[in-house]
Amino acid sequence: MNGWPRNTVKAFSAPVDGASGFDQDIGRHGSPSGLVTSVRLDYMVESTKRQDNRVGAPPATAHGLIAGAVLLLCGFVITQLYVWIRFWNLRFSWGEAIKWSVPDIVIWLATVPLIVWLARKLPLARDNLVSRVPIHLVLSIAVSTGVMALLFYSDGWLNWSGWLGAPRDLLSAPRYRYGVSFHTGVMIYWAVVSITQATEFYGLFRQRDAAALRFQADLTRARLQALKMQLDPHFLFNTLNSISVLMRRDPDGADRMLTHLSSLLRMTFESRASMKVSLAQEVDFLRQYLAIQQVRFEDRLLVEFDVPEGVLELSVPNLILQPLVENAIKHGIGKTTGPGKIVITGRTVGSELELIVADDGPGLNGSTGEGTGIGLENTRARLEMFYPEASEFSVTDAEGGGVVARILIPAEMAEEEGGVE
Amino acid sequence: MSFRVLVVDDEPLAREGVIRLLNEEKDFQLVGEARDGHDAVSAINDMEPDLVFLDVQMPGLDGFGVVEAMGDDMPGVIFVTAYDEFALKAFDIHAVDYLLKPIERERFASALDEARSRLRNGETPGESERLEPLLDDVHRQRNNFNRILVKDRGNVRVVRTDELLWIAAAGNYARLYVGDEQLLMRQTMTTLEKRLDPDRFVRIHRSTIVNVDHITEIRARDNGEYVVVMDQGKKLTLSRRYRDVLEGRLRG
Repeated sequence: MNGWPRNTVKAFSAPVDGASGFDQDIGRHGSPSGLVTSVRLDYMVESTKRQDNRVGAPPATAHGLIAGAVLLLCGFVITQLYVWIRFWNLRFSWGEAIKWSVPDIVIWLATVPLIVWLARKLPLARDNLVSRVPIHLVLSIAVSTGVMALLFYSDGWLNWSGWLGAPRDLLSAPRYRYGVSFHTGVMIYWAVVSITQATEFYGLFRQRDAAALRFQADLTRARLQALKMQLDPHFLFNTLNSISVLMRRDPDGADRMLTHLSSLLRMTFESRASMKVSLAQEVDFLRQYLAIQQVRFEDRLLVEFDVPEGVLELSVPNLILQPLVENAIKHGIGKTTGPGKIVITGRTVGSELELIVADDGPGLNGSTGEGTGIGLENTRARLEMFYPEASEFSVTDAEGGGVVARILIPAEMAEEEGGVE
Repeated sequence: MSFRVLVVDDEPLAREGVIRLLNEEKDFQLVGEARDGHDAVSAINDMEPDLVFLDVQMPGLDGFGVVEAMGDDMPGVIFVTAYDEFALKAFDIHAVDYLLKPIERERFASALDEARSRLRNGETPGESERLEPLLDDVHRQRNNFNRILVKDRGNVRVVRTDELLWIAAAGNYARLYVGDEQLLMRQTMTTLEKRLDPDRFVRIHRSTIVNVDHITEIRARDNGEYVVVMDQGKKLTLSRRYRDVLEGRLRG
C-alpha cells in the first residue's frame, strides 16, 4: 500500500497535460492558497484560449473544465472539513481547515486524472450501460478505498511529524472522518466520470459543428464564384432580344451583336475563377461587353478607356472589372436622362496597380442599392483571395457627381499564356 | 374602337420589338413610350392608356413599383421580362400573363387576345385587384416594409413609413398623413394594411390606420369612447373592437 501513491501520481499525471501543472504548483508554492490561485489562473488561460481560438478543440475545453472541477474540489474539501470539525464543537479556524485539507487535495488531484483516464478508457454509452456501470461502480469503490487509505496514512504521518499541529481531540475522531470521506470519494469519482463524458460529447459536437460550418463556407464560396463566372442571364436574354429586333431593321448590326456575344460567351466558358489574366485580356472582354451594352442603350452610353500600353501587360484576377462596369451601367447610366459616360482607368501607383471604373450617374444616394451589395462583396472576397491583405477596394461618390469604384492591387507582370496561378 | 397602348422598357430596341408586333394589330393603337418606371407613371397619368406593356426589370422604379404606385388607377397590364426567376414563379402562381424576351410571335398574339377580351368586358379597372396577391408576394420577397410608393399626380413619391403618421379612408381613396402633408392614394385600407409593417401600423377604426410610434396617449372620453392622441396633437377615434389589439401592440 505504501508504494502505491507515488506510482499513481506518476502514472496518471502523464495522460492529462493539465494535471502535471497542478503538481508543480503545489511543489512551488507549498501552500494550498497558492494552489488555488494558480488553478484559477490556469482556468482563465484555458477559457481565453477557447474564445479567441478556433472551434472544437476538445482537449483545451476538457482542461478548462477539469481546472474548474479542481477548484470546486478544493472548496469542497476545505469547507467539508471545516464544517465537519465545527460540528464536533471543536475550535477550528479556516486557516487550519486549509492546512488540514492539503493531504486530501493533493491525493485527490493525483487521483482525478486516474478517474478521467478510466472514464475515457471505459466510456459509457447507451448500449453498454449494463456492463459498464457495474465496472465503474466497483472502480469507484476501489478508488475511494485507496484514497481513504492514503488519507489515513498521510494524516498520521503528517501529524506525527508535527506539521499539521492538530488539536489532540481531533485524533479521536478519525474513524468518522475516513468514513465520511469514503462516500465523498465515491461521489467525486462519479462526478468526474460524468464531467469527462460530457466534455467528450461536447468536443465531438463542436468538431462536427465546425466541420459543417467549414463545409458550408466552402460551398458558398464555390457558388459565388460559379455565379460570377456566368453571364447574368438577364443580360443574355436582353441581348438576344435586341438581336431579334435588330435583325429586321439592321441585319449587319444584328450580326455584329451576335459576334460580340459569341466572343463574350467563349471567354466566359474558357475562364476559371482562380485565374489571373492580363489587363489587356480583361479590357478586351470589357470592350465586347460594352459594345453590346452600347447597342442596347443606343446613344445613352459613352465609354472611355484610359489604360497605357505598359499597364496592359500587368495581371489582374479574371473578370474583376466586369461587375463594376455592370454596376456603373445599372445604377449610373440607366438613371440619367442624357447620355451616361463610363471611364475605365488603369495605371501604376508605385509598385501597385490602380484600376478605376467611374460613371457620371446620380451617385450612391440615388441608387436603391438593390443587387449592388452581393456583387461588391464578391469583388472584395475575390481580391482578398488573390491578394491576402494586400489589396484595397472602395466604392464612393465622386466629387463632380457619379460613382467611383477603385481597386488597388500589387502590380505583377502577367505570364504569356494568361493562365497564371 | 381601338385600345390605347403604352410600351414601357428601358431599352429602345426592346420597345421597338413590342411596337412592331403591336403594329400588326388593328384594334391596338400606340399612344406612347416610357423608358423607366417614373416615366411610365407620369405617362399613364397623362395618356390614360387601356393597356401597358410593362418591363419588369428597370433601373430605379421597376415594373412592380409602377403597379404599386398606380394603385387602383392601374390600367390593364402585360408584363415583359428577360429573366427573373422570382417574377416568373410569381406570375405562374398568380396566373398573371407575361411575355418573355425575345418575344415569341404566337405568345404575343395570345397574350393580346386575352387582354382584348378583358378590355372588352370592361374588367381592367379590376386590374389592381387581380395583381394584388402578386404584389404582396413581391413585397414579402423584398421585405419592403419601410417605404410605400404613392402616385402624386404624375410623380411617384416614396414615403418612408416612419414619417407616415396615419391613414384615413376617404371614399375610394386613402388619405396619407405624412409630416404636415396629406397625400391621396387610390388604394383600399385592407391593401394598405398588408403593405405596412404590422408591428408599427395598427387599425384603430374601420377607416383609420395609425403608426404606433407617433401615438402619445390613449384618452377615455366621458361617453365611454376612446381617442388616440397623436404627437401632432391630432385626436383620432378608437373603435372598441380595435382597442385590445392596439393596447397589445403598444405594450409589446
